[in-house]
Amino acid sequence: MKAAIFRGLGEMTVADVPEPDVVEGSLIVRVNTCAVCGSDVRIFRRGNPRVRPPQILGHEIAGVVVAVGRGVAGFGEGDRVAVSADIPCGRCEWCRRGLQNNCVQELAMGYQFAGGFAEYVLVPALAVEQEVIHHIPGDLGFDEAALAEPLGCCVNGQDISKVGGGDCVVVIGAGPAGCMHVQLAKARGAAKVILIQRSPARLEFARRFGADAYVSTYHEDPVQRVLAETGGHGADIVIVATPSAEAQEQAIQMAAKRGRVNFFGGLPPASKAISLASNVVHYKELSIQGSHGSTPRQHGIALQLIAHGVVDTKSLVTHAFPLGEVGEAFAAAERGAGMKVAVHP
Amino acid sequence: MKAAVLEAPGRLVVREVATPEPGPGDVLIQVVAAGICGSDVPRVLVTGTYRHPLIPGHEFAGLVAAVGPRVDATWLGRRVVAAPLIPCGRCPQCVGGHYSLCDDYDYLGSRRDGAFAEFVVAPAANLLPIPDGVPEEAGALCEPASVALHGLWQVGVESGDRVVVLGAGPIGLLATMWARILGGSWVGVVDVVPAKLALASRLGVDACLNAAERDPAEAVAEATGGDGADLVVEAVGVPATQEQALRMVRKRGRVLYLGNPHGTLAVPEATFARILRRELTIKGSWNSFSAPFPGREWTTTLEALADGRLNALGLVTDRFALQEAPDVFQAIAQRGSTHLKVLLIPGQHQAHCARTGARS
Repeated sequence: MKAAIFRGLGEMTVADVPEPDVVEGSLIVRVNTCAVCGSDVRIFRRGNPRVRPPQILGHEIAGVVVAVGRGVAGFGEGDRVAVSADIPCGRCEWCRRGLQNNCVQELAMGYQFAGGFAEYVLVPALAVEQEVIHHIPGDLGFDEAALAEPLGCCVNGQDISKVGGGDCVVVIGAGPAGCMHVQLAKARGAAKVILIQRSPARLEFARRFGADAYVSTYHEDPVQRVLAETGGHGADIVIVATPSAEAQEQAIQMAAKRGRVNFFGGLPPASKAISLASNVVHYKELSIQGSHGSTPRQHGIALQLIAHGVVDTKSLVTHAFPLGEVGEAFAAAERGAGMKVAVHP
Repeated sequence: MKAAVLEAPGRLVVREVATPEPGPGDVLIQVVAAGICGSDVPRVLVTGTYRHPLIPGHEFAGLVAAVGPRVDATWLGRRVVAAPLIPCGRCPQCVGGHYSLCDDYDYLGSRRDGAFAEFVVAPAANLLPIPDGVPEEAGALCEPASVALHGLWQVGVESGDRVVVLGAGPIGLLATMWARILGGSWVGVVDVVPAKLALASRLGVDACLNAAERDPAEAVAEATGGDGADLVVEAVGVPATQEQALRMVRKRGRVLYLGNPHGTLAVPEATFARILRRELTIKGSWNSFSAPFPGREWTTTLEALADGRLNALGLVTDRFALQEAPDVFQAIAQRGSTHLKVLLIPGQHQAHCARTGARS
């Protein structure tokens, strides 16, 4: 089969490799869509201790089951499925508490296991048992379903921040994650959602997702605008969905008393430390939270949200490339050309 | 071919996989015997390998079944051991001949498919012929024996040294053997499992001390007239023995740390002070390689196996067929297990090929 093989920093070539064998407990999925995540680009450029080349990357996967291993119940050939990324071990303390995104093993598709930038992907027995793979409801498209993985991460983030009825939510960053957060917050009952972004172009694209206010930091001070929009109260929840140290520092200033600030996006290694206005946290009784990854259950919930039209992920896939042009796909994702880039092997 | 495949951490499955093909510079080896290393147990049961699925196993010997392009065809059919490390050859460590410390190495059995299978691919550059009269099973002990020797060469063994080894596992017992070969006058080994100490005694170690019955530092002091050992080799990797090692060594003595650490060591002030007050030398050692690759550790081991100085086969307590591998790992991991070196024999039904070593 054809697969994009990550061979070393900056090196990925499409090659012919043997198809994976279906083994007991596993599934083989013919990949229709594998979307590019920022983390794929980071692995490609800077490497990752969990990825040993040569390896096939890609973990936002949707496709069709073509082979079912002995002992697998609930899946048949021809089933349309979405595969999530994080594979829980099922045995550690965190998995047993249902917090599988904190599994100590940190196994994932496209990391220690071959991923979706290939014609076929093996969903290992452990992943099948841990319910990392879900049926795509109804006739939902593959591109839309593939984004259930990043949406699952947003569900996790908003579960942690307890986004709910009547809240005023600020989302910083109008990339794919930020746009999903806007829709999700609205669906969860937020009374007002304010989306903040630097570039006016990205902000324009995001208007279709129904935030109540759009703020471009090129033109105005976001903290002042949030205070103006909330009558001086501030935001109950601030979700920082952009890898910016400055945004994390400003988020504290925008939060209302007793507010929650969620560092949803990680920072690049070069800028790991931020300067925290500690007294602001103290006097406003703020909570600073982190969130990453998703549990299998959250992936399933995300898929339902997409299928029921609660979150539009179709609009977020702005670029598509065949497997043979995976290099261009990564380049488009890297320069932030649109929103989500999909690869169709 | 049949192989024990690590499909995910904790899931070792023996099944049929495609027999690999040797590429340019590589050979295909039919595995006659593959040893299970202490490091394989957590690798298979807990942490996993760098990618899955992957075949573990890095201590092995066999027959060259096929050669890839650009490989000398006279290797075909020869009995060989193969070093599992594939160094990059370009980094400052490799250029200096310190292959164990390569910045970007590949490794059979953890980073790419290894030897718990009927066949394994390895670079021809990693091959060493097994001398006539040495069984392949002894060849499978070449890797751990080289690890022990590499460590002792780095820390230095002097004629007449009184040596104490902490840990009567395969590496520790190989260290006791090498310590004698390199000129040690008295060798003691410390462990807490009576069966391991009994084996050590049968293998000819001068003193076998049970640390569960008596403080080993006291026992060593008594055996050395109060001085302490000239050289202490720590081959366990737990905080207790890491600390004890510093209390068993004489003034201006040497301590070699070989045991992969598990747990965090807190060194009492008085123990740490000994490093200064006794002017100790502390040496760490990793793997087994030196220039010319794979290193004289390997060639010396094969010579010592051939002339009988090194009784590596004496460490083998069990031989299992490949299909028993998943159960074997569970058994070894049990507390108080008395397995020492366990070999997997992929061709178990072909018992005749492993014994005599008379093949060329």
